[in-house]
Amino acid sequence: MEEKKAKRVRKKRSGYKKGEDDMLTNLPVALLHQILLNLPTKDVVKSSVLSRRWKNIWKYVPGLDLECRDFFVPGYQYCECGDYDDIYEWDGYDNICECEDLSFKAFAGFVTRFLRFKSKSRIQNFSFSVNWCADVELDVDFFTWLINAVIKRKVKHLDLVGKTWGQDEVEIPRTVYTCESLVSLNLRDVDLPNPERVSLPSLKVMVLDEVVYSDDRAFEMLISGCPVLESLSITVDYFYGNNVKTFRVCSQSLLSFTYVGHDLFGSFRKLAAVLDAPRLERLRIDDHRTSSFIVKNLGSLVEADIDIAFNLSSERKLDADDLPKREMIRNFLVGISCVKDMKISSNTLQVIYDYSRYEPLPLFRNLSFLHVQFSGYRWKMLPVFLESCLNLKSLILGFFFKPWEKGACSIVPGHRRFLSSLEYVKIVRPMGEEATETHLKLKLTLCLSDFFEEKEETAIIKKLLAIPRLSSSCEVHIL
Amino acid sequence: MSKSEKKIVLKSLDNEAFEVEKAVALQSQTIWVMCEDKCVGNEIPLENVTGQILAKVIDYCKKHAVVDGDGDESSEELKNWDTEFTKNMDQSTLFNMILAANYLNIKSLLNLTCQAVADKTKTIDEFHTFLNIENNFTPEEEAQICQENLWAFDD
Repeated sequence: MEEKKAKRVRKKRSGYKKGEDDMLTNLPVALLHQILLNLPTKDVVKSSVLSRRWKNIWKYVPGLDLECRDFFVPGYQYCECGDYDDIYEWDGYDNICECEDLSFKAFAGFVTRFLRFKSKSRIQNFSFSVNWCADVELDVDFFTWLINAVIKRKVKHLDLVGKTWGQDEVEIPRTVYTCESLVSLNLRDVDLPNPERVSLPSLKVMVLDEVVYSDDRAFEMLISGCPVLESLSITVDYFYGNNVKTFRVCSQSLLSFTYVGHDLFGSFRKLAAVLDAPRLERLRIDDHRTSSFIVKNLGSLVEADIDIAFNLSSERKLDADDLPKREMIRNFLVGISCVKDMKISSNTLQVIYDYSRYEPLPLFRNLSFLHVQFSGYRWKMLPVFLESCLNLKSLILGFFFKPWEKGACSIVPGHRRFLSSLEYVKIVRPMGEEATETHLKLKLTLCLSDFFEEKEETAIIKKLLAIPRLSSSCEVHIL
Repeated sequence: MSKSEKKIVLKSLDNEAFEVEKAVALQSQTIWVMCEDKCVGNEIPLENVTGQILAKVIDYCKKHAVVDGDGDESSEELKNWDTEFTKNMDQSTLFNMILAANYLNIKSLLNLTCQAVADKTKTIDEFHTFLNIENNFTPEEEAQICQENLWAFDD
């Protein structure tokens, strides 16, 4: 250990170039703190050995970014180096001595000392990951005390992760529901208690990742308690106990909404979502299981990334007689039809294709940029949807897999309507590498070498060159 | 509004003048306040920023401005652009960008540049080289400090 340390000291000194400015001496302390706020607390504390000037700078950084795991090192006797005795009965917490665990003591000792040092000042960021670690068993009372202490110091950004793999449930204290200073709240794998009242007047960004709520009403109350919320992201876990049947998001302020459903174990729990957000500009849905997704007032929508299947699949196709489902899909498509820039999955395209056999599709008049992401071969569905895109300018086709089936190159069959507005087509080969670019009207550039077999390539080139040109300015370049 | 009214001239410390769209410049709270005060004409002197840095700040603001509804790239593209923007900046440029972002009060640029410095200083060695700090501790003093927060020095 001693030898290791000595080595480190020598190495460090070699990094310093004499004569050059220590840029940081020119930087105001507040900016220095701003930089250090971006580092995990463990690294921030390490800055105490940089030089004499740096010895105490870390203590003034207005934030903490910790994991339980940071404190777990077998063999170290932390309790001998900390001054835990005077933590007792300070700030209402007097329970540490009952815990025999040394790593926990190191953790509790550090945060209590830090927060005591900050008893009069504010804390901007508090990020804490309760990752399950055999030696740091988080005391529930201490956790509650800690969160309350941070709220008391007017925390702006609160980030709590419970990665305990079901070993412990991390329940967020109710005081979070009324934290007036909170600007962003990021919760992952934690339980939220049933709220009595929610008032988060400053909250703009909220990420709720696999959070457990007590019921539909609790979730709805949380959203409606945020009058200036701009960005909301929720991830639904179908497997672990979730008591919400309908996620209802009604917000007058929301600009961006992300809805992700994790379905690793094929559970069949029924879920529904309702989204009513008149100012919403960006929508991302990545979910196949939610059977009903009702959208209202999405007239401001600009950007959408849609991979939704409404709990339909190749085994569970849309039933012609299922009128409520057809109506829901119609309303969904009409609801998002004002979008300008859309990324869509072939799963969703499949739903649209099946739906279009029963009812005409709504027109996507504003859509100028469309990116279709294919996971498998479903080319034939694309033209049907493209007919609804009257003013499409750019089309990008991406693949998760190589489209190996025959006939894959006839993207827009001749008997379909021409896409006269189209200016740009790009076909991205699998793995997201750079690939084929096609400028219709003026220029057609194709680069097929790594995408197709040589024989196939010659066939495609022959076919392409045989296509009659409608405009004399149209050139075909094959790279 | 005529075209000239929509433009604004920013003058750097070393007297370099940049003509930019108002919507681009007003991302700076400092410039916004100056324009509101009407104490300046169409030309705004920025006494703390050199032309070299100001040019970079303007690049950033142009990328992040929403002018007449167009130029709104997807959030993902913007993020990638931001990463590229700071990736190859050297230490002194980054610090000057932080100072400029702070003076001009452009919050997102301040966050971006602070994050970029933090990303380059993950280890003590990186701290020393990137920030060029001389270690003036004796080994005993250093050991003492490590001892105070042993948990942070275990790797």
